[in-house]
Amino acid sequence: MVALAASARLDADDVLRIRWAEPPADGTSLTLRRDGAAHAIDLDGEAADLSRLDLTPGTWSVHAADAEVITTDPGFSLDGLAEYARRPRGRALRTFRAPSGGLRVSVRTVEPYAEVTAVHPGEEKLALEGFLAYGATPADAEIVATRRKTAQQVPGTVSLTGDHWHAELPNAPFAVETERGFWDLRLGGLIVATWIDDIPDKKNKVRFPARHVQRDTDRVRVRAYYTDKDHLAIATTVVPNAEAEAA
Amino acid sequence: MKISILIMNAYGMGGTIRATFNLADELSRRHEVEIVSVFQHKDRPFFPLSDRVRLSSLVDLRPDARKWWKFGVASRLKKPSTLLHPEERAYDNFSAESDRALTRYLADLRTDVLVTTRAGLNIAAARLARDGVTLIGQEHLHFGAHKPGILAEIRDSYQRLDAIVTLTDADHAEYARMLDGAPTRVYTIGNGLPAGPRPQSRLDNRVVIAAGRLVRVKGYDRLLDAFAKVVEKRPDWKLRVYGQGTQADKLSRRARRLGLHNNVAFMGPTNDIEGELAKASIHVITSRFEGFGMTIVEAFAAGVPVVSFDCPQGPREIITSGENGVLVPDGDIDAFADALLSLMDDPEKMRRLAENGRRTATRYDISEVAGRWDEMLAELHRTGTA
Repeated sequence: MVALAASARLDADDVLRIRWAEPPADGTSLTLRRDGAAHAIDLDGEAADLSRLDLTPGTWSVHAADAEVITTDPGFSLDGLAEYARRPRGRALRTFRAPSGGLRVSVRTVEPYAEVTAVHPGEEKLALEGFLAYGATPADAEIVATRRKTAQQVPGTVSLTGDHWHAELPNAPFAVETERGFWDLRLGGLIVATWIDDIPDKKNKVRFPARHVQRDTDRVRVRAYYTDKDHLAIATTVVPNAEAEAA
Repeated sequence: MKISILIMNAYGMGGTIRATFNLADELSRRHEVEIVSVFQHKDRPFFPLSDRVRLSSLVDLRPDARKWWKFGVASRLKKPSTLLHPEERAYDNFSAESDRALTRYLADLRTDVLVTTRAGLNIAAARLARDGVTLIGQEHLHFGAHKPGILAEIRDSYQRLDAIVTLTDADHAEYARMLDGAPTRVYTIGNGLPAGPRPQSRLDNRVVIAAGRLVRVKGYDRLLDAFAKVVEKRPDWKLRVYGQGTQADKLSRRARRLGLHNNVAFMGPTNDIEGELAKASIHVITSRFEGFGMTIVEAFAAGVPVVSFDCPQGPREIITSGENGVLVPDGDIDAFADALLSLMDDPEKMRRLAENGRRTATRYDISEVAGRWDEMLAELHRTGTA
């Protein structure tokens, strides 16, 4: 038996809408399956309200009349993902097409955070842009970089327009006397990360230009980077002047 | 009929490997088909391969295999190949050890038809394959990509092959001219796409996608230069580059220097290029040359229009400019950026090109392509070579 979807997308209310290319024998319900667990849900026309299901975090396959639903739709648009993340929620669903063609629903427990959409490394300061995700409310209008080993801090400013935020951190204060440092960012107490651009493991995929803070005998290279968890962070490295000139 | 396909490395990634797997899968419905990989550096191939196709290798480079190496293997691996011409584009991969393995394999061939898939292997088969086996040489590179030294060897040895299969008509003409008077037949058979439901783009993401090894011939330096001009006007568009290769660091630095860090991601390899194509709205080819352009056909099948430099040879034979994609004069960076911008500003045109591209893709259905292989095999059989 075949169930082939030409379109399978989830709206911001967690309603899955399927348009069939080849409908299943019984198109009145869907079953989501994962590790032996199964949840059935009525298909009202082409819509199934997944918000009512108690789906545990993980990836669920979708079945109709005992056939796995195959889809030709990638399952989401990038604008749709951003719109979805702008709503307050503690659980985030996402539909996608597995390489096998099967329709999947991923389920994650989420917390409010600051999504980064652009990074602008300037000569004097690092400017960041983004939006507040999952109903995030910053505790204050400050972005703070905290050095992992020493807990030294560099504060910066944040301005908000609706749920859009703009933050600035000066480069110079990162030039503390040290060899190498990694600084984690918090915006009004919130995690600062890029999670909904459909580019997981950004560490080696996206790299930002470095800026240098000049000192007497050396300079400090300041570079924004993505951590293993796709948090945005800052790396500082001391480069002796001689070495920098040789390079 | 038993068909053996000899390929340099079935465990890597790239258009040739994908196309070879697609063809082997389809031919194995009617024939006994095996793929013989000269080298093996991983346990499993990167791309999926049907169970009907047997896969084996001649030179095992996996770390665990070292303990089974017989005396002399390690030193032969360090010695350069004398069997292949130094102008074979993948010469550095070959060695005295692969010479030994290839020579033995070709002398002991247990097959009816041997298909070789690159110039160096075609020449080796022509010289060393035992009598009684039908020899078919495939050319995945375009004719003009061969340097004079290896071209002389090609001219000398290809006439001992029963057939040459080119991917494009332009290459067909070149080889037919070169082999004029020789018994070798020349066929044009493009690469094919497997059947089945394929992911379809909705053209709803402002994403441009490129895919292929990060090496100079793919021209990603030219792509980044053009994309830098695009984002001056359309900073909301992103470029995703799939693949890996020796130029990865260099290209990443170039992207940063061009201020593209918010717009370009080097995505690494993927085994689901069709799925990734379907998330994009424009596929770009900036290669300096392209033997065929497997991703062009894959993009068409995913409903994604293609903008390509009019490089030799593949793109101009697959793309009809203005109909299913846009061909830009080779190397004209400004014109490439303009072509992208005009598509971005004209969603209606994008949809029309995508729709026509879907129709073009049906010509490359693997069952059609394998059908042409069968016709060729029957013809060679009739003339007493198979």
